[in-house]
Amino acid sequence: MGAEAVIIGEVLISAISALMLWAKSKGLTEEETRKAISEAVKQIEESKPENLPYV
Amino acid sequence: MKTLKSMVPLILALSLIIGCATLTPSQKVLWGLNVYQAQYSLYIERVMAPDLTPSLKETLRKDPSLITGNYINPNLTEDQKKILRVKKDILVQLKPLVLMAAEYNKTGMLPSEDIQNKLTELINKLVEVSEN
Repeated sequence: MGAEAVIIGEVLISAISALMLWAKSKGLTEEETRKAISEAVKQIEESKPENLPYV
Repeated sequence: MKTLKSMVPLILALSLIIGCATLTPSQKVLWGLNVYQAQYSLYIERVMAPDLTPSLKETLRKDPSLITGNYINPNLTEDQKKILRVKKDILVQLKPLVLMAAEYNKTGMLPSEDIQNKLTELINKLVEVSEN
């Protein structure tokens, strides 16, 4: 696969994912959104992007 | 291919602008958090060797620093590696910003315009896999 195809593939996957997440966020009530934010924050606080393997 | 490549960022930028414009502030915060999480998970899935057992993969997801040596996907091309390096750099920068934006949930105050702009810029870069 060429370099351009790889990049386009990655962009499309990320874009579709972002749009699906947008639709998911859009469909929530204010109360549901706040609850979802609290849960997401807990998980993100545990994430360690600096420890992701360097390839 | 060139036409398609040139259109992808445009379609993406328009989608993100239209999408963000129609979200409430808290929905926008949630969207930013979710994009971070999705890209963080995607990075780990891409980097892990595909033939690992499910239980080992679960362990590595919890502590990605253990993904070394034979646990790294040997099928990654140089182009994919370049993209992943850029993504890692953006994820490191993005984490404190999305958490700062999430403070809106507690305080009801949106982060400053500078922080919001930086957040949007990083999310766009992360999604576009841009090296600029």
